[in-house]
Amino acid sequence: MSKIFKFDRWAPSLSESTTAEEIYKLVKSMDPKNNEIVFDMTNMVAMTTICARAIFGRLYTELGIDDFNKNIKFTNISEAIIVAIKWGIMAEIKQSIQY
Amino acid sequence: MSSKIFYIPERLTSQYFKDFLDVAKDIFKRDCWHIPDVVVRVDRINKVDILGQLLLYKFFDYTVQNQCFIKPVVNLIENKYLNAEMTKLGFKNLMKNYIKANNLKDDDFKYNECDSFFIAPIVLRSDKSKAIDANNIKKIENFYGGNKDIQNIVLQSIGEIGSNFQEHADCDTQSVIVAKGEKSYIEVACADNGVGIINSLRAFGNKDTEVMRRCIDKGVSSKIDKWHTGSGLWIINQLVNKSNGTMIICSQNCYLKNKKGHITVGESPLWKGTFIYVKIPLLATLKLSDIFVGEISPTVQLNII
Repeated sequence: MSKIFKFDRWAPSLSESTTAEEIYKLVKSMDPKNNEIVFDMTNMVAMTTICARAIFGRLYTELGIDDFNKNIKFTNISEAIIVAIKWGIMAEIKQSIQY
Repeated sequence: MSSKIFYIPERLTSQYFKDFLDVAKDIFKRDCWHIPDVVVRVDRINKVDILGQLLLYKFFDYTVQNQCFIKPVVNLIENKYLNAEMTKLGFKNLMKNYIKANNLKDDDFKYNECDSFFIAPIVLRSDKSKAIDANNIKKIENFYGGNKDIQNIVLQSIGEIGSNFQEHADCDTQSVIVAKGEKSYIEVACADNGVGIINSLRAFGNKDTEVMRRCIDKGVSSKIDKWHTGSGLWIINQLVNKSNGTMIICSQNCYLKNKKGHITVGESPLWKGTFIYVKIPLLATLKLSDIFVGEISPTVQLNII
Protein backbone atom coordinates (compact mmCIF):
# COMPACT_ATOMS: atom_id res chain seq x y z
CA MET A 1 0.00 0.00 0.00
CA SER A 2 1.35 3.40 -0.89
CA LYS A 3 1.93 6.18 1.61
CA ILE A 4 1.15 9.78 0.71
CA PHE A 5 3.67 12.50 1.55
CA LYS A 6 2.07 15.91 1.23
CA PHE A 7 4.34 18.89 0.59
CA ASP A 8 1.56 21.35 1.29
CA ARG A 9 2.95 22.55 4.64
CA TRP A 10 6.09 23.80 2.92
CA ALA A 11 4.27 25.32 -0.08
CA PRO A 12 4.67 27.38 -2.13
CA SER A 13 8.46 27.42 -1.99
CA LEU A 14 11.15 25.26 -0.43
CA SER A 15 14.53 26.98 -0.21
CA GLU A 16 16.24 26.16 3.09
CA SER A 17 18.63 23.24 3.35
CA THR A 18 17.80 22.63 7.02
CA THR A 19 14.12 22.22 6.13
CA ALA A 20 15.14 19.87 3.33
CA GLU A 21 17.10 17.85 5.87
CA GLU A 22 13.99 17.58 8.08
CA ILE A 23 11.92 16.43 5.11
CA TYR A 24 14.53 13.83 4.17
CA LYS A 25 14.40 12.41 7.70
CA LEU A 26 10.60 12.28 7.59
CA VAL A 27 10.75 10.38 4.30
CA LYS A 28 13.37 7.97 5.63
CA SER A 29 11.16 7.23 8.63
CA MET A 30 8.58 5.96 6.12
CA ASP A 31 11.04 3.28 4.94
CA PRO A 32 11.16 4.12 1.21
CA LYS A 33 13.18 0.97 0.49
CA ASN A 34 10.19 -1.20 1.32
CA ASN A 35 7.25 1.14 0.83
CA GLU A 36 5.84 3.05 -2.08
CA ILE A 37 5.72 6.79 -1.29
CA VAL A 38 3.68 9.22 -3.36
CA PHE A 39 4.83 12.82 -3.08
CA ASP A 40 1.84 15.09 -3.52
CA MET A 41 3.24 18.41 -4.77
CA THR A 42 -0.06 20.29 -4.83
CA ASN A 43 0.55 24.03 -4.26
CA MET A 44 4.34 23.68 -4.59
CA VAL A 45 5.60 26.41 -6.94
CA ALA A 46 9.37 26.43 -6.49
CA MET A 47 12.16 24.32 -4.99
CA THR A 48 15.82 25.31 -4.88
CA THR A 49 18.32 22.92 -6.37
CA ILE A 50 20.02 22.57 -2.95
CA CYS A 51 16.78 21.27 -1.44
CA ALA A 52 16.07 19.01 -4.40
CA ARG A 53 19.50 17.43 -4.06
CA ALA A 54 19.30 17.12 -0.26
CA ILE A 55 16.02 15.21 -0.44
CA PHE A 56 15.62 13.48 -3.79
CA GLY A 57 19.24 13.29 -4.93
CA ARG A 58 20.07 11.57 -1.69
CA LEU A 59 17.11 9.17 -1.93
CA TYR A 60 18.01 8.37 -5.54
CA THR A 61 21.59 7.35 -4.76
CA GLU A 62 20.63 5.50 -1.58
CA LEU A 63 17.77 3.53 -3.10
CA GLY A 64 19.33 3.03 -6.50
CA ILE A 65 17.61 3.71 -9.81
CA ASP A 66 15.32 0.63 -9.71
CA ASP A 67 13.92 1.06 -6.20
CA PHE A 68 13.68 4.84 -6.67
CA ASN A 69 11.59 4.45 -9.80
CA LYS A 70 9.51 1.67 -8.23
CA ASN A 71 8.84 3.27 -4.83
CA ILE A 72 9.13 7.04 -5.29
CA LYS A 73 6.21 8.53 -7.15
CA PHE A 74 4.99 12.07 -7.72
CA THR A 75 1.59 13.55 -8.26
CA ASN A 76 0.28 17.06 -8.93
CA ILE A 77 3.80 18.16 -9.81
CA SER A 78 4.64 21.11 -12.08
CA GLU A 79 7.20 21.07 -14.85
CA ALA A 80 9.38 23.52 -12.89
CA ILE A 81 9.51 21.26 -9.83
CA ILE A 82 10.26 18.26 -12.04
CA VAL A 83 13.35 19.92 -13.54
CA ALA A 84 14.54 21.12 -10.12
CA ILE A 85 14.29 17.57 -8.73
CA LYS A 86 15.98 16.01 -11.76
CA TRP A 87 18.76 18.60 -11.49
CA GLY A 88 19.17 17.80 -7.79
CA ILE A 89 19.39 14.09 -8.58
CA MET A 90 22.00 14.69 -11.28
CA ALA A 91 24.10 16.81 -8.93
CA GLU A 92 24.05 14.08 -6.29
CA ILE A 93 24.89 11.34 -8.81
CA LYS A 94 27.84 13.40 -10.03
CA GLN A 95 29.05 13.95 -6.48
CA SER A 96 28.70 10.26 -5.55
CA ILE A 97 30.76 9.25 -8.58
CA GLN A 98 33.52 11.66 -7.52
CA TYR A 99 33.61 9.94 -4.13
CA MET B 1 41.29 59.30 12.31
CA SER B 2 39.74 62.71 12.76
CA SER B 3 36.20 63.74 11.85
CA LYS B 4 34.90 62.77 8.45
CA ILE B 5 32.06 63.58 6.10
CA PHE B 6 30.65 60.86 3.85
CA TYR B 7 28.95 62.42 0.84
CA ILE B 8 26.59 59.80 -0.55
CA PRO B 9 26.52 60.34 -4.34
CA GLU B 10 23.46 61.70 -6.10
CA ARG B 11 22.69 58.50 -8.00
CA LEU B 12 22.32 55.70 -5.47
CA THR B 13 21.33 53.04 -7.96
CA SER B 14 22.37 49.69 -9.37
CA GLN B 15 23.66 51.40 -12.50
CA TYR B 16 26.01 53.63 -10.49
CA PHE B 17 26.87 51.23 -7.65
CA LYS B 18 30.60 51.96 -8.00
CA ASP B 19 30.04 55.64 -7.13
CA PHE B 20 28.57 54.59 -3.80
CA LEU B 21 31.31 52.04 -3.15
CA ASP B 22 33.89 54.72 -3.77
CA VAL B 23 32.45 56.65 -0.84
CA ALA B 24 31.63 53.68 1.38
CA LYS B 25 34.91 51.77 1.00
CA ASP B 26 36.64 53.63 3.82
CA ILE B 27 34.44 52.01 6.50
CA PHE B 28 36.08 48.67 5.73
CA LYS B 29 39.53 50.01 6.59
CA ARG B 30 40.81 49.10 10.00
CA ASP B 31 41.61 52.67 10.94
CA CYS B 32 38.00 53.67 10.34
CA TRP B 33 36.79 52.67 13.81
CA HIS B 34 35.50 54.89 16.63
CA ILE B 35 35.62 58.06 14.54
CA PRO B 36 33.96 61.00 16.26
CA ASP B 37 31.98 63.75 14.56
CA VAL B 38 31.05 61.76 11.50
CA VAL B 39 28.46 63.26 9.21
CA VAL B 40 26.77 61.15 6.53
CA ARG B 41 25.40 63.59 3.97
CA VAL B 42 22.49 62.21 1.97
CA ASP B 43 21.16 65.53 0.70
CA ARG B 44 22.68 65.09 -2.77
CA ILE B 45 20.78 61.88 -3.56
CA ASN B 46 18.27 62.45 -6.34
CA LYS B 47 17.88 58.92 -7.66
CA VAL B 48 17.64 55.71 -5.66
CA ASP B 49 16.54 52.12 -6.30
CA ILE B 50 16.24 49.00 -4.14
CA LEU B 51 19.93 48.13 -4.41
CA GLY B 52 20.87 51.69 -3.44
CA GLN B 53 18.62 51.63 -0.41
CA LEU B 54 19.86 48.19 0.60
CA LEU B 55 23.51 49.25 0.32
CA LEU B 56 22.84 52.37 2.36
CA TYR B 57 21.15 50.23 5.01
CA LYS B 58 24.08 47.76 5.05
CA PHE B 59 26.51 50.67 5.22
CA PHE B 60 24.86 51.81 8.46
CA ASP B 61 24.53 48.22 9.70
CA TYR B 62 28.26 47.63 9.23
CA THR B 63 29.25 50.87 10.93
CA VAL B 64 27.02 50.06 13.92
CA GLN B 65 28.17 46.43 14.22
CA ASN B 66 31.82 47.46 14.05
CA GLN B 67 31.45 50.68 16.04
CA CYS B 68 33.01 52.65 13.22
CA PHE B 69 31.50 55.97 14.29
CA ILE B 70 30.81 57.68 17.59
CA LYS B 71 27.40 59.37 17.49
CA PRO B 72 27.26 59.95 13.74
CA VAL B 73 24.92 62.55 12.30
CA VAL B 74 22.64 61.36 9.51
CA ASN B 75 19.60 63.32 8.58
CA LEU B 76 17.47 61.33 6.19
CA ILE B 77 14.52 63.70 6.60
CA GLU B 78 16.47 66.57 5.03
CA ASN B 79 16.24 64.89 1.65
CA LYS B 80 12.50 64.77 0.92
CA TYR B 81 12.93 62.61 -2.17
CA LEU B 82 15.03 60.02 -0.34
CA ASN B 83 12.74 60.14 2.66
CA ALA B 84 9.70 59.44 0.47
CA GLU B 85 11.44 56.62 -1.44
CA MET B 86 12.71 54.97 1.74
CA THR B 87 9.25 55.22 3.29
CA LYS B 88 7.69 53.70 0.17
CA LEU B 89 10.06 50.74 0.10
CA GLY B 90 10.02 50.24 3.88
CA PHE B 91 13.69 51.02 4.47
CA LYS B 92 13.00 54.09 6.56
CA ASN B 93 11.16 51.98 9.09
CA LEU B 94 13.87 49.32 9.01
CA MET B 95 16.59 51.88 9.65
CA LYS B 96 14.63 53.68 12.34
CA ASN B 97 13.98 50.46 14.24
CA TYR B 98 17.53 49.29 13.71
CA ILE B 99 19.00 52.51 15.09
CA LYS B 100 16.56 52.39 18.03
CA ALA B 101 17.09 48.75 19.01
CA ASN B 102 20.40 47.85 17.32
CA ASN B 103 18.62 44.79 16.03
CA LEU B 104 15.63 43.92 13.92
CA LYS B 105 12.66 41.74 14.75
CA ASP B 106 10.64 39.71 12.28
CA ASP B 107 7.83 42.27 12.57
CA ASP B 108 10.13 44.93 11.12
CA PHE B 109 10.17 43.12 7.78
CA LYS B 110 6.82 43.99 6.38
CA TYR B 111 5.43 42.96 3.02
CA ASN B 112 3.91 46.03 1.44
CA GLU B 113 1.76 46.26 -1.65
CA CYS B 114 1.22 49.62 -3.33
CA ASP B 115 -0.60 50.54 -6.55
CA SER B 116 1.29 48.41 -8.98
CA PHE B 117 4.11 46.80 -7.05
CA PHE B 118 5.01 44.93 -3.91
CA ILE B 119 8.09 45.25 -1.75
CA ALA B 120 9.26 42.53 0.59
CA PRO B 121 12.37 42.89 2.71
CA ILE B 122 13.26 39.50 4.18
CA VAL B 123 15.99 38.97 6.75
CA LEU B 124 18.15 35.90 6.35
CA ARG B 125 18.33 34.68 9.91
CA SER B 126 21.18 32.65 11.29
CA ASP B 127 18.42 30.27 12.42
CA LYS B 128 18.26 28.79 8.97
CA SER B 129 15.14 26.71 9.50
CA LYS B 130 12.95 29.79 9.33
CA ALA B 131 15.22 32.06 7.40
CA ILE B 132 12.93 33.09 4.59
CA ASP B 133 9.61 34.14 6.02
CA ALA B 134 6.90 31.90 4.58
CA ASN B 135 4.15 34.50 4.96
CA ASN B 136 5.98 36.99 2.76
CA ILE B 137 6.58 34.28 0.18
CA LYS B 138 2.87 33.38 0.10
CA LYS B 139 1.95 37.03 -0.42
CA ILE B 140 4.42 37.31 -3.30
CA GLU B 141 2.90 34.16 -4.83
CA ASN B 142 -0.57 35.72 -4.56
CA PHE B 143 0.65 38.95 -6.20
CA TYR B 144 1.44 36.93 -9.33
CA GLY B 145 -1.69 34.80 -8.97
CA GLY B 146 -2.89 32.90 -11.98
CA ASN B 147 0.41 32.38 -13.78
CA LYS B 148 2.30 29.39 -12.41
CA ASP B 149 5.37 29.89 -14.62
CA ILE B 150 5.79 33.51 -13.51
CA GLN B 151 5.21 32.55 -9.87
CA ASN B 152 7.90 29.90 -10.26
CA ILE B 153 10.45 32.29 -11.82
CA VAL B 154 9.87 34.82 -9.03
CA LEU B 155 10.02 32.35 -6.13
CA GLN B 156 12.87 30.34 -7.67
CA SER B 157 14.92 33.54 -8.07
CA ILE B 158 14.30 34.66 -4.49
CA GLY B 159 14.98 31.13 -3.21
CA GLU B 160 18.21 30.56 -5.15
CA ILE B 161 19.65 33.98 -4.25
CA GLY B 162 18.48 33.77 -0.64
CA SER B 163 19.80 30.25 -0.03
CA ASN B 164 23.09 31.12 -1.72
CA PHE B 165 23.64 34.05 0.63
CA GLN B 166 22.36 32.22 3.66
CA GLU B 167 24.85 29.40 3.20
CA HIS B 168 27.82 31.67 2.53
CA ALA B 169 27.23 34.60 4.88
CA ASP B 170 28.69 32.69 7.80
CA CYS B 171 29.75 35.77 9.70
CA ASP B 172 26.75 37.93 8.97
CA THR B 173 23.47 37.42 10.80
CA GLN B 174 21.84 40.55 9.37
CA SER B 175 21.82 39.71 5.68
CA VAL B 176 18.78 41.15 4.00
CA ILE B 177 17.14 40.17 0.76
CA VAL B 178 14.73 42.59 -0.82
CA ALA B 179 12.29 41.72 -3.56
CA LYS B 180 10.40 44.36 -5.47
CA GLY B 181 8.05 43.38 -8.21
CA GLU B 182 5.58 44.61 -10.70
CA LYS B 183 3.53 42.38 -12.94
CA SER B 184 6.10 42.82 -15.70
CA TYR B 185 9.35 42.32 -13.77
CA ILE B 186 10.95 41.21 -10.52
CA GLU B 187 13.95 42.85 -8.86
CA VAL B 188 15.87 41.06 -6.12
CA ALA B 189 18.74 42.55 -4.15
CA CYS B 190 20.71 40.88 -1.40
CA ALA B 191 23.74 42.11 0.54
CA ASP B 192 25.97 40.86 3.31
CA ASN B 193 29.25 41.71 4.98
CA GLY B 194 30.38 38.09 5.19
CA VAL B 195 33.46 36.33 3.81
CA GLY B 196 32.70 37.22 0.19
CA ILE B 197 32.45 35.19 -3.02
CA ILE B 198 36.07 35.76 -3.98
CA ASN B 199 37.36 34.33 -0.70
CA SER B 200 34.97 31.40 -0.62
CA LEU B 201 35.59 30.43 -4.27
CA ARG B 202 39.34 31.06 -4.28
CA ALA B 203 40.00 27.48 -5.47
CA PHE B 204 38.40 28.37 -8.81
CA GLY B 205 40.95 30.95 -9.91
CA ASN B 206 44.14 32.78 -9.06
CA LYS B 207 43.03 36.25 -10.06
CA ASP B 208 40.04 37.84 -8.33
CA THR B 209 38.43 38.72 -11.66
CA GLU B 210 38.87 35.12 -12.81
CA VAL B 211 37.05 33.86 -9.70
CA MET B 212 34.30 36.41 -10.24
CA ARG B 213 33.86 35.33 -13.85
CA ARG B 214 33.60 31.68 -12.80
CA CYS B 215 31.04 32.17 -10.02
CA ILE B 216 28.18 31.98 -12.53
CA ASP B 217 29.44 28.72 -14.05
CA LYS B 218 27.68 25.44 -13.41
CA GLY B 219 29.12 23.37 -10.58
CA VAL B 220 31.13 26.19 -9.03
CA SER B 221 30.53 26.07 -5.29
CA SER B 222 32.60 25.99 -2.13
CA LYS B 223 30.06 23.70 -0.49
CA ILE B 224 29.44 21.02 -3.07
CA ASP B 225 29.66 18.38 -0.32
CA LYS B 226 26.83 20.07 1.62
CA TRP B 227 24.04 19.46 -0.88
CA HIS B 228 24.96 22.50 -2.95
CA THR B 229 24.71 21.99 -6.68
CA GLY B 230 26.79 25.00 -7.67
CA SER B 231 23.97 26.09 -9.92
CA GLY B 232 22.14 28.85 -8.02
CA LEU B 233 23.92 31.74 -9.72
CA TRP B 234 24.08 29.80 -12.99
CA ILE B 235 20.27 29.53 -12.98
CA ILE B 236 19.86 33.22 -12.19
CA ASN B 237 22.32 34.16 -14.93
CA GLN B 238 20.47 31.97 -17.45
CA LEU B 239 17.15 33.61 -16.50
CA VAL B 240 18.76 37.03 -16.98
CA ASN B 241 20.08 35.96 -20.40
CA LYS B 242 16.73 34.58 -21.53
CA SER B 243 14.77 37.61 -20.35
CA ASN B 244 17.22 40.36 -21.43
CA GLY B 245 17.49 41.32 -17.79
CA THR B 246 20.26 42.68 -15.60
CA MET B 247 22.46 41.10 -12.94
CA ILE B 248 25.21 42.66 -10.85
CA ILE B 249 27.36 40.68 -8.45
CA CYS B 250 29.95 42.55 -6.43
CA SER B 251 32.30 41.09 -3.89
CA GLN B 252 35.41 42.50 -2.29
CA ASN B 253 37.25 44.28 -5.12
CA CYS B 254 35.44 42.79 -8.10
CA TYR B 255 32.16 42.94 -9.93
CA LEU B 256 30.37 41.03 -12.63
CA LYS B 257 27.62 42.64 -14.66
CA ASN B 258 25.27 40.92 -17.07
CA LYS B 259 23.25 43.42 -19.06
CA LYS B 260 20.98 41.73 -21.59
CA GLY B 261 23.39 38.82 -21.98
CA HIS B 262 26.52 40.96 -22.27
CA ILE B 263 28.86 40.11 -19.40
CA THR B 264 31.57 42.39 -18.07
CA VAL B 265 33.92 41.69 -15.18
CA GLY B 266 36.17 44.23 -13.56
CA GLU B 267 37.59 45.77 -10.45
CA SER B 268 35.52 47.90 -8.10
CA PRO B 269 36.06 49.82 -4.87
CA LEU B 270 36.03 47.54 -1.83
CA TRP B 271 32.83 46.06 -0.45
CA LYS B 272 33.41 43.67 2.47
CA GLY B 273 31.20 40.72 1.65
CA THR B 274 28.95 40.35 -1.35
CA PHE B 275 25.91 41.92 -2.89
CA ILE B 276 23.80 40.90 -5.82
CA TYR B 277 21.14 42.71 -7.78
CA VAL B 278 18.92 41.05 -10.35
CA LYS B 279 16.18 42.42 -12.56
CA ILE B 280 14.25 39.87 -14.57
CA PRO B 281 11.54 40.97 -17.02
CA LEU B 282 8.70 38.48 -16.58
CA LEU B 283 8.12 37.52 -20.19
CA ALA B 284 5.13 35.30 -20.85
CA THR B 285 7.42 32.82 -22.58
CA LEU B 286 9.96 32.58 -19.74
CA LYS B 287 10.05 29.11 -18.16
CA LEU B 288 12.51 27.56 -15.76
CA SER B 289 12.45 24.29 -17.69
CA ASP B 290 13.75 26.07 -20.82
CA ILE B 291 17.14 26.72 -19.25
CA PHE B 292 17.59 23.01 -18.53
CA VAL B 293 16.94 21.89 -22.11
CA GLY B 294 19.77 19.55 -23.09
CA GLU B 295 21.23 19.74 -19.57
CA ILE B 296 19.40 16.84 -17.93
CA SER B 297 20.33 13.26 -18.72
CA PRO B 298 17.38 11.28 -20.15
CA THR B 299 18.26 8.44 -17.79
CA VAL B 300 17.01 10.52 -14.85
CA GLN B 301 13.26 10.05 -14.90
CA LEU B 302 10.55 10.60 -12.31
CA ASN B 303 7.62 8.27 -11.86
CA ILE B 304 4.69 10.65 -12.20
CA ILE B 305 1.16 9.34 -11.60
